[in-house]
Amino acid sequence: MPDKVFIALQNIADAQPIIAAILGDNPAAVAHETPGMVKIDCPTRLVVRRASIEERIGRAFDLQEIHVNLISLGGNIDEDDDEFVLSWRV
Amino acid sequence: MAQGKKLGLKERYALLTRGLDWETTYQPMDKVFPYDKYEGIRIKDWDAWADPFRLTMDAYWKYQAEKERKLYAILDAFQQNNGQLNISDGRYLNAVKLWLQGITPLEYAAHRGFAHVGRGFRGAGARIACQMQSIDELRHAQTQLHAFSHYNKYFNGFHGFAHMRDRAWYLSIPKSFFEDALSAGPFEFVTSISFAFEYVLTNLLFMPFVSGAAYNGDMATTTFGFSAQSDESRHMTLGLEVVKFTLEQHEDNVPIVQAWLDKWFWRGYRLLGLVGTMMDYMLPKKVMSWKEAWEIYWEENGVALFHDLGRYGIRLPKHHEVTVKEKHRLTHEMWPTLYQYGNALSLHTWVPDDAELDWLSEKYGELFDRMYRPRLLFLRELEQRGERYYNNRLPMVCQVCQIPIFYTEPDDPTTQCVRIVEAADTKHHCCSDGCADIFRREPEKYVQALIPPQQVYRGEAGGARDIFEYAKWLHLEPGADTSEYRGSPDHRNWEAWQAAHKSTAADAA
Amino acid sequence: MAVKHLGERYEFLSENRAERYGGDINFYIRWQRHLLYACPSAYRCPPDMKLRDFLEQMYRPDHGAHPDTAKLDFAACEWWHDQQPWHPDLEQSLAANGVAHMSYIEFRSPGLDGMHGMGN
Repeated sequence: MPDKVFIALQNIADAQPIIAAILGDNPAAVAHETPGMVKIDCPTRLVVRRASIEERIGRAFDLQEIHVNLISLGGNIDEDDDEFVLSWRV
Repeated sequence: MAQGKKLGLKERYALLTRGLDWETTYQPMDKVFPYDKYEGIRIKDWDAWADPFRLTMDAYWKYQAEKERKLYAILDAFQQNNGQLNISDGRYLNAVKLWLQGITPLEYAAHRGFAHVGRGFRGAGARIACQMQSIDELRHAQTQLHAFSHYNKYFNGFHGFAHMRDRAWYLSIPKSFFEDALSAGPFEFVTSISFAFEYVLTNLLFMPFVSGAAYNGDMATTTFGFSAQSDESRHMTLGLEVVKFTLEQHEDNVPIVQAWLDKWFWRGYRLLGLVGTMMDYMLPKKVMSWKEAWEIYWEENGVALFHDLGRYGIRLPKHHEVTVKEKHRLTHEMWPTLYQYGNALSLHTWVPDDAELDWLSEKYGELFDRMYRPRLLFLRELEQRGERYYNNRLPMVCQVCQIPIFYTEPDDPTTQCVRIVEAADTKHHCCSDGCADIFRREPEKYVQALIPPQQVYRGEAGGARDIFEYAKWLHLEPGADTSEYRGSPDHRNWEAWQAAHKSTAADAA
Repeated sequence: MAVKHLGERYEFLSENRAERYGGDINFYIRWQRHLLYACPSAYRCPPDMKLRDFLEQMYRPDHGAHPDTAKLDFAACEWWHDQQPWHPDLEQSLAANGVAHMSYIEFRSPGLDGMHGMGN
């Protein structure tokens, strides 16, 4: 079974478009809700796309805004203006 | 002026953060940076440092300010609306006391440590990341103090955290952990704190405490916790980047880093036993068991990380298999330990009620029912007879992790695990092969440790001759700050406030 | 293996060395299969204290909460010192019995095997 990367976000209204975008762009991702938090696990690689968030949030979105709602993550990071990627190199 | 093409994040970041340092000519670089070579770590090219988050200072201030605004607004609302009445139960506050006493001073120590290494690395990228982290850690200490100060108005046990930091036996556990790191070189410091603690193990600290706070109605701690956690994500990635960078720079670094990972995985794991015990025994509403948390955050997530590092020749840390054996019993051994030494704790302890015992049975199964449930029921029996159990004799304490030696042999839960280690013509004692290995690797460090029961016996604890005089030296009021929860002022106050709260609501209805 | 350090020397005496206890010794004692007592206990005593006096005047009163303690007969116990089998003479002093600073004593009480069949 491949190792999982994960990202955890606050489970509040502001973060719902981000969560929805992640689940939409990563078909193998699974969301686990605990009080106040959503932890999203995904085998090997997970991508957060600015465009997918903007579709849902209804305004321009700077990917670095994720810092406001981010709780934790696991995986190597690669970040540019359009995508934030978590991955394990296997 | 013609409109140019907008620079991408990577290019922008490189232009704003690179080429701003210089090779010194008035003094040799080795004199300007005297600390970053003595550990034996070899760096061929500092320019290969890749910032994990491409966060420039303007973005940093902007997002930190936004988090601060939100945090303090929530803390204000919490205070104005008597948020302390909405927690699940008065016992919950003891988890917060443990945090204030055990964690908040570490945030401050981290602030100091990162300020130090933020000057010590000759690579500018590493220095900036450490300096930002130093500010983050100070912010964590401050925001925790603000969040918890409200509780200090209503509950005992909060007032003495600063005085106790250098005196209380159980606080030497986190204190010695951090001082071991602070007294190491910059590469070991960042490997131990940013990587081992903040990447591998942080989820086991913050997730349980903060989810626990959310589940138990503690909005102040929840909000502080999640606000800090995004800082932690940056810290985690700094830790991972330092380890990857170090391993990629020179093959000589691999065994040095491996030895640090072995040491700090184990030290961090021992420290987290307090958090596990908090999860299983102090939270009136449970989020998950320590066993479950260890399975998710170490056995799945942590091991995945080490698999990724396998490409450099890094293997899983020594004694990791012991942590898996211990997950079934660690908290059930630690809680009765805290319970019996309760006269010298600045938080209350108690025997779980039947619903909680049933939850523990469900989570832990057969060994819990054969070994620990009867032990806890015996404690309840003593309490009901008016002979609430205290052990007022000082314990043997591990020379490395400084935890009283209650841990049992990995393959035998009926026998405490004691390892005798000799150095400087004196016998010392460790709780495990993990700690004994750490001692033997650097005995000159650990023979210097200030072990609280031994300080008492040498007359160094304000001359205290027994546990009661010791508690007084800690500025603790017996029964109010210490000892049994049931019947304490915290308990009586909680019942009275809940009754008043309900009758007010009933009147209004 | 030595600590990596700046400067010429990194050598220290132990904080816990014998000279710092005013002529007394600190030693540890554990009653096997009595996990109600979570940890081995630490005691500071003069080395010329008779072992039986230590056990009856200090150890037994400290351990009154356990149902086995009232029936505990030290003369009938099996003993270990620093994890090796040991045959103390209860009528002799700690020092005469070889109990020194930072010694670790264990004993087991046949027939008194703790509670619940699990050594509690």
